[in-house]
Amino acid sequence: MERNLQQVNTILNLAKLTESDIKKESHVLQFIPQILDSKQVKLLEVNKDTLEYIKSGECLFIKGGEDAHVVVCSNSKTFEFKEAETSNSLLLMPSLNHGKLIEATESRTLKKQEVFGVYHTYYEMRLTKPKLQSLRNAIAKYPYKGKNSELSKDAVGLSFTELKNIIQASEEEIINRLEEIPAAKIRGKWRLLDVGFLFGWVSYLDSILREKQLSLEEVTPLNVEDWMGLYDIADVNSKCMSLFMEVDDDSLKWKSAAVSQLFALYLLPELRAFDSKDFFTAWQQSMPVGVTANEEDLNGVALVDYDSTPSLVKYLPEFELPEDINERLDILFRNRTKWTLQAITPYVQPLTDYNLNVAALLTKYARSLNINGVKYYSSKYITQTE
Amino acid sequence: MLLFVLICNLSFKNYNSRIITITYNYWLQYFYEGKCKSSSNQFQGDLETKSEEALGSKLIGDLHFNHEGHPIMIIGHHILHGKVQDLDKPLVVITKENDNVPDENNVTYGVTAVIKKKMIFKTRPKPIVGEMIKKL
Repeated sequence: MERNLQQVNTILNLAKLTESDIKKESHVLQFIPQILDSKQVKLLEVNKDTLEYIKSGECLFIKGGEDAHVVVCSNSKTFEFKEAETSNSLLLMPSLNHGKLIEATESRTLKKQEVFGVYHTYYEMRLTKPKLQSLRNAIAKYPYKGKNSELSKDAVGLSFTELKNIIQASEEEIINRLEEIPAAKIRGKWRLLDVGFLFGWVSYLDSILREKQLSLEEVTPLNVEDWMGLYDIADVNSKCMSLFMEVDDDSLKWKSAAVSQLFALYLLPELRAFDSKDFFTAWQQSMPVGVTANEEDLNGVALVDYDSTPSLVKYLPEFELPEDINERLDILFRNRTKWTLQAITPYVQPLTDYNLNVAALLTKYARSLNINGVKYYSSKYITQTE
Repeated sequence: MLLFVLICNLSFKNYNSRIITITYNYWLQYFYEGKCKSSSNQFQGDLETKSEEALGSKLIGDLHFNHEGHPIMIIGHHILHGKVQDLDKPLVVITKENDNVPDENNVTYGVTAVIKKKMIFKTRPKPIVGEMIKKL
C-alpha cells in the first residue's frame, strides 16, 4: 500500500498541476492502523488563559448537576461545558516534521504523514458565573443558633470537600461566597448562622455598649472579642464582626446597611405583610446605637407597597427567590407591578453573567415603560390594568 | 463542507494537568461512552465502531504546498485548496485514563497534546480524469 513518487506525480499531473507549481516536499496522508476512538480521546477547546493554566499542571474539574447541566471548573473559574458538533471533518495529525521519508530524488521528496483520527465533535468551555444559591441552601439545612442551642454532640453541617462536590462552582468562588454570606465553620463543618442568632448577637453587643455608655467607635476589636467571648465561640464572633462591622486597624464602625437588613429579616415574619408604619417604628427603635435605618436598605430584603391601604411591607429576601430568571421575575412582578432599576437591581444582580448585565437581562426578559420621565420595568407577559 | 486538518504538538510531555470528574449526571454518560444509558442505541454504536475500524491504515490523499505556502490536497477525485491558519482558540487533546475502573465518578482525562494550527480546505469537486486513477 506504499505510495511512491511516481504515483504521486502522476496524480499531480492529472490534476493539472506540475512539479514546478509546488514545493519540493510532498506528503502522503495515511490513517494510523488503529485510529483514535472518539470515546477515549476527545478535543476540548480552551481559551488562552485556560491553556496556560493547563500547561502549569493544574487540573480541571467536571461537575454534573441536575438535568444535563454540566460545568467544568478550574481552581478559580467556572465554565459551561458544551458539545459542539460540526458537519465538517476534522483530521488530527502531528506537525509535518514528524513524517517518515518514503522516497527522495534530487528535485522531490515524499514523506508519509500519519493521521491519528477524524472528528466531528469537540467540546467547548464558556466562562460563566456559577449559580451559588445552592451553596446557601445546602448549609441552611444546618442552621447555627448559638453554642447553647446545639442539639447534637456530633458536628453537623457540610465539610468543605462535600461542598466542592455538590456545588457547581470553583473552589475560589465557593470560598468567596462563604465569606459573603452568614456562613461559619463550626467544628470543621460549614453551617448557616441563623437570623435570630445574629440578631441576638448584635443586640447583645449593643446592650453592653449602652451599659458602658460607649459607642462602637470608642472600642477596639479586642474589646469586642473579649465581651463576646462569653456569648459564643471565637470563630462565630469573628464572622459576626466581619458581617456587621467595618474594621479599620483598631477602629470599628457598624455596617449600617448590613445591620438594617439583618433587623428587617428578623422583624418581618414570612408570608405576612407588616403595616409599614408599625414596621418602620419597630425597625428604627430596635437599631443599635449609631445605626440609622434607611428605607433603601430594604432593597433585596423587603418591598414597601404604597399602593395598598394601609401601606405594607412585604418580606421578600433575594436569597429565597428561584435562580431561573423567568421564575424570579414572575414572582417579583406579582409582588409589585412596576419597578425602578434601583429597586429591582439587588434581585436581578445575582443572575447576571459576564456578557449579560442587569440592564441587558431586563431588556431581554422584561418590558420597560416610561412614566413621567421615570423608567420602570414590568412583566413581559402579565398585562397591566393601569 | 470543509475539511480541517488540526496540527497538534507531539511533545507529549505528560502534562500533569488532568480533567477530573467530581460529580456525574446522565449527560456525562453520553460524553464518556458516546451513548445514553437509557436508550440502547447499540445499532448506532456499532455503526460508529465499524466505520472507525474501516479507516485504520487507509490512505487519505496527497498533500502538497504551493510556492506561497498554501496547502493543496488531492483526495480521490477532488483537489482541495487550503490555507494554514492559527486556531482562534487552541484545542487540547484529552485522553481517558483508568479505563478499567467501572466507577463513573472516577473518570479522568489526561491532557495529551495541544493544537494551535489548522489547515482549512474547501472542497471543490473537480473530477480528475485518467485511466490510472485508483480509488483510495
